[in-house]
Amino acid sequence: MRVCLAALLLLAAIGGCAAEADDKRIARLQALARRGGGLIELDAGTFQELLVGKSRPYSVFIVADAKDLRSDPKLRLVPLVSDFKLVAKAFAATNAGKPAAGQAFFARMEFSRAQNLFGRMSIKALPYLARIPPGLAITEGGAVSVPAEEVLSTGGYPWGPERIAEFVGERTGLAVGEVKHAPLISPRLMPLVSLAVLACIVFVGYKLYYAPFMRHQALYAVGALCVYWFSVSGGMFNIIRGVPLVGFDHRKRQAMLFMPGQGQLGAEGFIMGSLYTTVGLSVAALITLVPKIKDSGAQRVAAYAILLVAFMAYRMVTSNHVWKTGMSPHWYLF
Amino acid sequence: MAGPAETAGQTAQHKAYGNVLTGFALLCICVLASSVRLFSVIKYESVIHEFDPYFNYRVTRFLSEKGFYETWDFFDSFTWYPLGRVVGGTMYPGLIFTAGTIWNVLQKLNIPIHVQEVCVFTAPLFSAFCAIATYLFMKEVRGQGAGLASAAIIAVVPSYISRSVAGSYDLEAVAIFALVFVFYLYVKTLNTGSLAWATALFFGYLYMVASWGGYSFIANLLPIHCLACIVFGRVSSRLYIAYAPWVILGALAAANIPVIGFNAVLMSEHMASFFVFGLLHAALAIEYIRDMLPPRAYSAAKKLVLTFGTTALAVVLALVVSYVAASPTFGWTGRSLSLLDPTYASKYIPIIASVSEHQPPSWSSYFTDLHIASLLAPAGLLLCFRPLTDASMFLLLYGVTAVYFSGVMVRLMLVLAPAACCLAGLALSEVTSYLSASLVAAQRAQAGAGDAEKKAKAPSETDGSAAGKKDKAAGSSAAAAAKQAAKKAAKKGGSGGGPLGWVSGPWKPVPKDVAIVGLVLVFLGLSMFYRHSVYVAGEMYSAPSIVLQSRRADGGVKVFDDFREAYAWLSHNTDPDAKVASWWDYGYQTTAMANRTVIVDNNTWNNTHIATVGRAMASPERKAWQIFRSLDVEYVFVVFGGFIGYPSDDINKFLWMVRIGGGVFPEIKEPHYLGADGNYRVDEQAGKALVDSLMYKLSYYRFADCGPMFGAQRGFDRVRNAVIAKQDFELKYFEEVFTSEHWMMRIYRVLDKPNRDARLRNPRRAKLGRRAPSKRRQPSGAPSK
Repeated sequence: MRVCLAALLLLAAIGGCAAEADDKRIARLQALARRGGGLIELDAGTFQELLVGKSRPYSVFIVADAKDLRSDPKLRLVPLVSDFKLVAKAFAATNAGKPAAGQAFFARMEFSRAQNLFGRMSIKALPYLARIPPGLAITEGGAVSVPAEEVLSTGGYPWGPERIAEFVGERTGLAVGEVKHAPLISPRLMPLVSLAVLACIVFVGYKLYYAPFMRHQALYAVGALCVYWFSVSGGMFNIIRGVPLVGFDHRKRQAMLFMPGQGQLGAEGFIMGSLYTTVGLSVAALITLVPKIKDSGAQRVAAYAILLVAFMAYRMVTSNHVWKTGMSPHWYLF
Repeated sequence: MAGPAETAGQTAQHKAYGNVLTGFALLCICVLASSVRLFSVIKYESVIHEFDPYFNYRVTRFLSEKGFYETWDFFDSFTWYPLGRVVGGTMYPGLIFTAGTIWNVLQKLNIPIHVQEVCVFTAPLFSAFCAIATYLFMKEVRGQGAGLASAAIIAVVPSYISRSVAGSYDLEAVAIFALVFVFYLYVKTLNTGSLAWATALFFGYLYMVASWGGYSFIANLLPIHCLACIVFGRVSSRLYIAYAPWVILGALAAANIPVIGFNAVLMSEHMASFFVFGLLHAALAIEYIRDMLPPRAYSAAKKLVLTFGTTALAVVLALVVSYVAASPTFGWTGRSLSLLDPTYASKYIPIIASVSEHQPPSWSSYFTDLHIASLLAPAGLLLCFRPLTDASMFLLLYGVTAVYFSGVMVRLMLVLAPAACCLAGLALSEVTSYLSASLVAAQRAQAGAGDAEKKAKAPSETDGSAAGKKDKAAGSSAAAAAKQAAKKAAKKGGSGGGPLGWVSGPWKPVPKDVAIVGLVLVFLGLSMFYRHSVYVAGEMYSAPSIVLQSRRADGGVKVFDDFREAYAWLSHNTDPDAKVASWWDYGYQTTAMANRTVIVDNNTWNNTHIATVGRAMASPERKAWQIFRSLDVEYVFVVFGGFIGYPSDDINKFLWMVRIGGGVFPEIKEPHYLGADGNYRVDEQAGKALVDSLMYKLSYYRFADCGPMFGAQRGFDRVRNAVIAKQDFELKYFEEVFTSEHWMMRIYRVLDKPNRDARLRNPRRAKLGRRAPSKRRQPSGAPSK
């Protein structure tokens, strides 16, 4: 009987010590999360602190991020992380001062900083958002096998903060509370603000209308050229399809300016648009500038230079076009 | 030195020669424009192309048989069974009445020609007219030289050829001509200020609105031009005569076309013209009052009007803004949003985004479709400013708006093509006239008479292409040009040492060698343009898509005429009242060629009806049978390319059927038709719903039996490059009645009662599974295991 009692006491004491240690750990982690704006940045150190152990008194939600892939418009990593942060903030705000606040942590791991963690968790594709349940044993340096049901399914991506909050609620049973998107202007002020904006536009328009520089034809010439340049560059193509400026060739492991086959890359389009415009501009220069040069020698040099520029730009356009489309026109003469 | 009288006589003679030469050149351009579009007839045959032209052709045939009034009231019971379609009220009649008129005239002249030939050759004929209209337009804007150059470019510009080859009997065939012609009439009215031309403008616009929905581009471009004129203080009585009658009479003209009707005053895209109409009156009124009142009274009146106007405007705006803010979507419709934000449609309206014509073009499309016009157009844009006239401002605005909108969808490239050609023609004519004028000047300098500067002005008149241009630029515009030049020079002055040190006052020719090199380069560039355009016309844009060709190994041509074969079978072997179901793409062709009633066609006005057909195709056999029976369908056909490798077949379009069907009938769910990996596939991992669907069964029925090509596996689909999932099955509710030579069209009869014996013909084969055929196909010399 005594032995039993002693054993129980001992257990309670150990438990108490453990609970105290856990409280300290949670407090440390909460401070860490607050510094990171609600998110804990995972690297070797924080991983040890946050996750390693047979079990933990809290769940950890991890979102995977990769610096190199942030420009990929389909993955939407940047909005994902910011949504995740919103959920973390909402969680912290709802549960502030309650014991629930220490029952879930939100962490982000970035590929370039925590490459080995990606391997240990065997993350092969982004987007990735998962919960590390409290009971999952994690050893130092060992593989972390997250059960399939703890990973948020990629169906219906992009998730949005509501879906993420729902996932958090589902898996932990904790209330996340309302996720607040900060509205820019309150709806009541809307008419007043738009009226003010309109008034400003009218005022600026009026001033512009009477501004002397608005009568300058050069302004409109440049404007027309810019619209032209933008359109023939496929600028709209870039916007509508969300094409990145520069691509990445995975086989050669280097940045790629020109993309073979259909479609285009952003920079490729702008380069070609500039070449188009160069030909036109040099023709215009030949007609408008060259006749004004007084000195015959200078005129000859200028004219030849302009012709050369036009010719080279034309050559580059045609050769790139042949490369892009594979068209090889032939004469129908013979 | 020649006497003044003699010089005048010489000039007149030169002018006469120039005019004759211009006329001859224009004739050549017209012949070229028509003949470059005949590749499709030479390479294939005189046949109507693609899908929509078949509808136009059918209505034209109806017109030639029944006459004008019957066509105007045409109710078509052959389509959209059982709903029918009010054809007279839902079509743009311009093209059809044009071809009908041509046919009638030819009949009156006792030239017996079938109406199909008239339809086939309408587009090449009107592209010649379009070249003339372009010449006239640019002649008004900048003179004969620019006109000829623009006509020479538009005659063969690939973008326009793509829509106007012989047989491409579509609305754009006449509409592009009408578009340019309306621009010509507008600019002519603007230049002359004559009411006669304003009347002509009304008739031209009437023809345009009758021809094409693209008239709304004009309906917005003319207001933009008028607004620009008001803003830059170019308001004149000529502008008023050109613009004001057009607004009122043009709206009436549009309202008279049944398909537009009251949209001409209700839709937002027509609002701009009325708004600017009011603004023009206000501007003219202000001008009138300013002339009438003494300056001080005027400024007082201005202050009064401004104060009251601003207050009233603020109140109205506040009301509008609060109203808009109160509504959930901020009062914007999808249509106006897609105008403001070009990415809107592609994100939120998938049915628009799915059409290949509505994709945004990349840089290479511009060069393919416009070639040298896209390179010279920027120069044309700049040259519009020297001198800036009302007409050249119109061309400038046309070019800028068209190029902007062409960036949003590839289809609008067609509207850009005339603008790019005119701008390029302007640049081309200016550069050739400058270079050849320099040559003439050099010649005269060699002859050793006078200094070069004096002569430089004269030779441009002798140059045929430059005739009449320089004198147009004279007068007020010359001052503007000089000012412009001074500005340009001032800008460059910083880099050129002393201020304006290197600038000579007047025009100075380039040395002879430069002129020769320049002319050679221009000639080479143009040759490349012609080579490219003729090649594109011959190889890319001439396929009628109703007849297909492929090159055989021995260099011969293999013709696939399955579509017409199957349509002919339908027309000869089925009851005239039979209803035929297929996916909507083939509706127009079925009514025109097989002369049978269809359920849905390419005029996709009723989404539910299309979704019903999509649902039937996506359903299992029994349910599809019930749906088709309820629509009185007797025959169903599918287009199948797996046998010969024709990629645009129904299996590849099937996901759209699922999506459109699922949009109305929620029991159709796209994921069920996809494989486990989320991809659309027909092999072992295909989605279960796909394998069960009617489309799969009708496409692959007995396909495995037909024997593989080129030693491929049994049931190998050459389009999807996969062995199909389910190879042997029988149909219970449908019966195969016809399969065309290359299996591209497969026609099935919908049975009255289900087959009682629908088990496999040879049960052994199913049991043997896939081992037997692979054994059988061992090469003869292979060692047996």
